[in-house]
Amino acid sequence: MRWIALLFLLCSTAAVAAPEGSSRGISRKKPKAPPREASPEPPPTKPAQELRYSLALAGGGFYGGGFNRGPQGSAQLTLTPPGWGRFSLDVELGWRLARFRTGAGVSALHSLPLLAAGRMSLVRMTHFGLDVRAGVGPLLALHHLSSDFSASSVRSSLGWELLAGVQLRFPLGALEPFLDGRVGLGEAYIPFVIGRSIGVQGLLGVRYQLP
Amino acid sequence: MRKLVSIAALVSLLACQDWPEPVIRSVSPSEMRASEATALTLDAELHLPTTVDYSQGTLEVDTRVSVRIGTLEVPTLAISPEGISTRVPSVLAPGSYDVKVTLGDGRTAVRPGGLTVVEGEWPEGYSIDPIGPQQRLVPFTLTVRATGANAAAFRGNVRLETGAGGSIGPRVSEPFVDGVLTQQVVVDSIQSDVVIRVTDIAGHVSTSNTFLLR
Repeated sequence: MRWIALLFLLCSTAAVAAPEGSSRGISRKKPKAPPREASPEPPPTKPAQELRYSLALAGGGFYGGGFNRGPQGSAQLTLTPPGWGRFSLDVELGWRLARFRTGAGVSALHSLPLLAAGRMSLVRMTHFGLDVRAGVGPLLALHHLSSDFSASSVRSSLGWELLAGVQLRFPLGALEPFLDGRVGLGEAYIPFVIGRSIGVQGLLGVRYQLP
Repeated sequence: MRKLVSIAALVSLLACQDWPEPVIRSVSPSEMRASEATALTLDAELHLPTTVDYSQGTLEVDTRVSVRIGTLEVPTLAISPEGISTRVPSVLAPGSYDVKVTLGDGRTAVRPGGLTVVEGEWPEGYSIDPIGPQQRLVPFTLTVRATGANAAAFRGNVRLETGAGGSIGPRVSEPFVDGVLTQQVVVDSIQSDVVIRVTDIAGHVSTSNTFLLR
């Protein structure tokens, strides 16, 4: 846990520092421009200097062995502060469901992770991009059990979750379809439940660049 | 500080890991006659401990449920999400009794005064059909007949006993059917000459003939 937080902090610091440092370096090497008359209007603000947001929705499935499998969904809010370059911050709310039925009843395990993830853009082309992501956050697990012998019950637990993955992006203007592949690790202990609705995960989604 | 308390309360709500406690909502009927075995239904919310294994896809339900009327443990005939079916033998003296349910993992629910036992109508006595020679621990049929004015309507239970140095199973009979009990019993004794004694809580006692136990 600590090394992940440290790594993320280092990456974030590097991202913030790098563009400013390079621009200062260029300005030192440039010859001084001849004095010009002051322009009556201020230069327009560059979009890169504003905090950018995008919202993504995705759906897919996961598999963690046996009946640890099922559908999943995700809502991701991506924030790219000015000067962060290739780095962004994601806040992601997920949902996964592992469910099975036997002669004795039905068991459903819902997992709701709330993750803070760092995103680094490895490849940025006009219609293609590749990002890597790593994140951590709390995991709420809800277990619903109904059986022929017993009243239905819902039990819950708070735990933790880690994720690491890649996203293949296909920018099409403000909309951006993407493929998300990841592996997850985590635990939310509920007595009498041997299972983890986590593992290898694949999602298909679309991201919208908020104005 | 208030925020911290609110957050702690929310977290504890979210982390509700344990099975809910069982609850007995009602006992039906809430009253029985002392002289009649009575089928009892407990309208109860029971969350039986169930082990869920996602790697195997299995549910293992611990169906052990114990029902007590006062200090008397009664058999559990059926368990469903709506409650428990049981049968109370006519071995309780008139009075008010707590009804207690205990699940396999030790969780309990009590309904104080859930069952009231009122006076019943007992037969005047019992007669036991002659018993021939028997073998130790080999079941045989015992026939007991209620006698007297209320005999034909008797649907209660009696206690079964043997003399000193012996034992009989079961100790509480099945209910009489229209005044007659036909019951499989098993007897063991260090004696070779044995008698079976029948008693009820009204104080009636009847003894069988002495039979040979090999």
